[in-house]
Amino acid sequence: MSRILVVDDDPLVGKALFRLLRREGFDVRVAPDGATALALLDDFAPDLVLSDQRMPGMTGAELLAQVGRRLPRARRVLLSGDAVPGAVAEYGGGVPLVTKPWEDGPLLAILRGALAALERREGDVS
Amino acid sequence: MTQGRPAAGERGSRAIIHAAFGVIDLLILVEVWGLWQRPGTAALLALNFALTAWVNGPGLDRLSSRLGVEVGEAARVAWYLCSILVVGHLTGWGVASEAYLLLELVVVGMLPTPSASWRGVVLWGGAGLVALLDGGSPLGLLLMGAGTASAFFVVHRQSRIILRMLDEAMSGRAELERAHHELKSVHATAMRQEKLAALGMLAAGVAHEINNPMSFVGSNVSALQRDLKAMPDLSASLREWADEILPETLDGIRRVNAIVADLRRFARNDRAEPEPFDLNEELEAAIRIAQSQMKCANCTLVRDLGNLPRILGRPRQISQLFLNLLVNAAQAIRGNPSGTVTVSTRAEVDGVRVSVRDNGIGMDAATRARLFEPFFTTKPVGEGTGLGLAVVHGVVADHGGRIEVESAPGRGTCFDVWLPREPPELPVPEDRPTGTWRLDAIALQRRTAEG
Ligand SMILES: Nc1ncnc2c1ncn2[C@@H]1O[C@H](COP(=O)(O)OP(=O)(O)O)[C@@H](O)[C@H]1O
Ligand SMILES: [Mg+2]
Repeated sequence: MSRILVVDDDPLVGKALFRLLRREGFDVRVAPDGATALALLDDFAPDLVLSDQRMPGMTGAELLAQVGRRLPRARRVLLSGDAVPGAVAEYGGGVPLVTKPWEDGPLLAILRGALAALERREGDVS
Repeated sequence: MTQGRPAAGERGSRAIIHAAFGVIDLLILVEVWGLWQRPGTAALLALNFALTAWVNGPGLDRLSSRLGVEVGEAARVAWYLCSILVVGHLTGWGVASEAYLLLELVVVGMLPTPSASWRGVVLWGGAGLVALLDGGSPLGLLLMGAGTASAFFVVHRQSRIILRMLDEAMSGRAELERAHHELKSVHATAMRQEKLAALGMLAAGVAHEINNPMSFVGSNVSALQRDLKAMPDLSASLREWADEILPETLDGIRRVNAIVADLRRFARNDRAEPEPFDLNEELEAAIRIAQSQMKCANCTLVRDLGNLPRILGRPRQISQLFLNLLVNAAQAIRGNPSGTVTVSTRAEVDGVRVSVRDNGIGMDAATRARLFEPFFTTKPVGEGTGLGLAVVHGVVADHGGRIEVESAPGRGTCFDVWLPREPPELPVPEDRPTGTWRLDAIALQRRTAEG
């Protein structure tokens, strides 16, 4: 069961993502900000971090950069309400950008795609 | 300003001239007093006084206004010459005639044109010559000549200086007025841009705030719908929810999202460096997206694409620009079996020209006057947001281009866009707390549209 860490300062967004992902069979944790998310990294060891971009304190991009350093194997996906809806683009370093409001289907497809790439790579190594 | 005498103080100086001539007339009367035995003296003098007053007054005015100042002034000099002869001869070329000549030269010199100098010389030389022939004393004549000549040139120079100052003042004023006008129009443009910028900031902020709640509202409602659909035996009322109410609700949510998306595009948070691009390629991308969005089976698209040089700009914005024009054109010909959209591109000396033409419903004057206004739309709710052309206008303005519209109700519309090869300097939106990343909406849509 893949572990996904969701980071969003809007608790209702966090809850919606939590329910959506849990229902799809993922092990999900939600953090309200970057600092909390970083504190959870060692404990939870997520396979994927899905973070909102605009948050108080630390932006999602900054958070994901740190995650990349501390947990290089973790996949990262950025979520933002600032972008043009419907668009998904690469945000630097192969981090996909999903725009809010997301549509459940495409969002899940992106997350599954990222996790599948992880599995493939780790399968190759072992 | 070089025609006629300076208008300022005209009345006053004319009164002074009349008074001066009156004084000298009196002087002459005193000098010739008692010499009435010479026949005709009185009559000649009286005629001279009257005619001189008339020439200095209304007589020349009429002549000048009919035949021009040069002719009028020549007539004045001719008359002055005659009258100086009469006066000089009668007074034996004494002080009175000197004063008379002086005054006449002053009047002639008051006109600040170069030809006035020539007239002064003619009057002065003519009077001197005749005086010599008529038996005036050479020494007296010499004195008279020196005095009158210097008086003439002082007056003449003075009036030319005044005229130049007046000219300078006038042109200074004109320049000031022009600068004032320019300032006003720059100010108006700045105000408009500031308003649009403020509106853009507001739109971007509002869009962000709306996107957050809309994301979980949409996600939750669609989850509910999926769950309900998955349940085997629903009551009639729940079935109505699953089959009708929730799909309608989701449609509403999608509509809100589409409006917010338009708002976002209107806010144009594109910080991309200008890059060289092929405008025909962007146009093709926009056409593909438009066709996939419009699903209009019966509308004909005619391409008339010329060979274009690569131009500098923001290709994503340009693509968005054409997408908006194409969507409008497609909407205008909807339901029209002979509806056609024609796109053409042409290279020009310093830029490229693109036109998007349709033979659809067209626009009346009232619509034409407002079509670029944000939120102006004539389309039903859910179909138009009124932001399409506002975006188009913004993109064209950012690229230093021009856009023209031709349209008539029932006959169709043609949008004509000209873009320079190199935009002057693309404005970069202010730094916003979201960092510096940007999106590639069109590129993605292009990818999805292609495969
Ligand atoms: N090709 C066209 N033919 C007729 N009317 C047009 C065309 N393009 C624009 N308009 C008019 O201009 C208005 C504003 O257009 P736009 O800014 O794109 O907003 P929207 O399409 O959402 O209404 C439209 O509602 C329509 O009345
Ligand atoms: Mg439109």
